[in-house]
Amino acid sequence: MYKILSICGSGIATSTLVASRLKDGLEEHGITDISITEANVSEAGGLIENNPPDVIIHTTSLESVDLKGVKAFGAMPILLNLNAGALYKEIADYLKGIK
Amino acid sequence: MIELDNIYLDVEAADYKEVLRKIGSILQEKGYVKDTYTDALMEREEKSPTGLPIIPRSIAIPHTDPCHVIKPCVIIFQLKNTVKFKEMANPENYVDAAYVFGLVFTDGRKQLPLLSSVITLAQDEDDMEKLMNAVDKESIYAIVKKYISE
Repeated sequence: MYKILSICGSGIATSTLVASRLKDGLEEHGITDISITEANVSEAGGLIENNPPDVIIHTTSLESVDLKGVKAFGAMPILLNLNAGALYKEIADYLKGIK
Repeated sequence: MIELDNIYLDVEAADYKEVLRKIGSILQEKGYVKDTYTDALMEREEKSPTGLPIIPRSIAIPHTDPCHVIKPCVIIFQLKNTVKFKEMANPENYVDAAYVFGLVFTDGRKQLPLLSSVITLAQDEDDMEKLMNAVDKESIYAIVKKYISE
């Protein structure tokens, strides 16, 4: 099971959309056992500390967030559907590389 | 979620803050949001801007936490002149927004197809050009409705 944290400004709009698309995108690379949590940027720090994700995707600047070394991928290509396929592959490869 | 009455033509605003104030006051007057909405919308735009860089016409999708919302809707501004919004995820950049789609959401999962539809519409050059040239609400409504099935 891979845990993914999707972060946006409000935790309701773009993070939900990119999470849903990433789920489909990772399936194409054979990764189906995932759990995605959506959060806003102010909740993110606590979630990372208490339940560290394997990967973070984000549509907002994470300058204010302590990532605790968790790898973060900007999700704008997914939101705007611009070259999203390459990003799905990059995230899939990263996940396969860690376990 | 898409209502003719929530489409506004030729909106004039000096900057994005004025756009957000106009959105907030209209929505509050119409009963869509609580009196905390405008401040929350502006604060959220500062922390996590919503300008989307799209060629040839950029848009902005301002929104804020559902706790300030009474009932969901989308408010659409056709801007008289483009307004600079900070770019989502890259706040050091600006986009020149031609249209603003205010997403008044109560439930991200339920309203997720709507966000997806707005982005798809903004990426269709022909339909965006029609939106730019539209002179009445009805034609904007007809174009937007093509993308959004409710």
